[in-house]
Amino acid sequence: MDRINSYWPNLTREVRAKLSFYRNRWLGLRLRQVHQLLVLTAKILKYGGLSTGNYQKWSKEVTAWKLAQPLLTKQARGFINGMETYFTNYTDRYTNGHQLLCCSDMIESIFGRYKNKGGMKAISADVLSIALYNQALSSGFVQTAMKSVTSPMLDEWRCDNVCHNRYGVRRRMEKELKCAGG
Amino acid sequence: MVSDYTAYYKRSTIVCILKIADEGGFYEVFF
Repeated sequence: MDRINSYWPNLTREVRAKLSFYRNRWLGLRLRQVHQLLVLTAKILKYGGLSTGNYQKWSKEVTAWKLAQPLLTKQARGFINGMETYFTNYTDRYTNGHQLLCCSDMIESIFGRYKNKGGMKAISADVLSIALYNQALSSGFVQTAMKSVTSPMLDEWRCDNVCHNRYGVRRRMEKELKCAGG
Repeated sequence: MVSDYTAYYKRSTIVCILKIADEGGFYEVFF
């Protein structure tokens, strides 16, 4: 809103007259309140994801924010209700001390390491762990898995499917051929 | 005799599970 307002003096009289029809304190308040709520929510969820602690923190901050408002717009109330529903929908996934990632930045940071270090080897290891992302690891869970799938079976699957193998070998061969040819 | 093994990381601890073929059971080691 402040940025939009800063353009105001540069506009022509005709354009200002047309825009004035839509500009009023209600529009400003609606935009400002939703923006403030968005910033407040993103600060908590972006780095910490969904968890019981973060829900409590968010509720506390929203309550304090509401107390500071002279009135609450329909849009702000809608945003708060929408966030309450969002937290409620995932309650069973983040309770019991679990944390649920909910921001693309966090997913980016997980996959970002492939760019700098690890490469194919790190990707291969992580491909196998994707299936475990929503599983609570316990001794019983691992023992049951080991009863049905053995390490040699897993190695065979890994050789056929993950990228550090066939793709890596082919790339190395191509590099060696290129060096020999040059 | 250890016939298979796996390891995972949980709460700052590496848990290594060994499958003991002749006993038909598992053995856990924590690091």
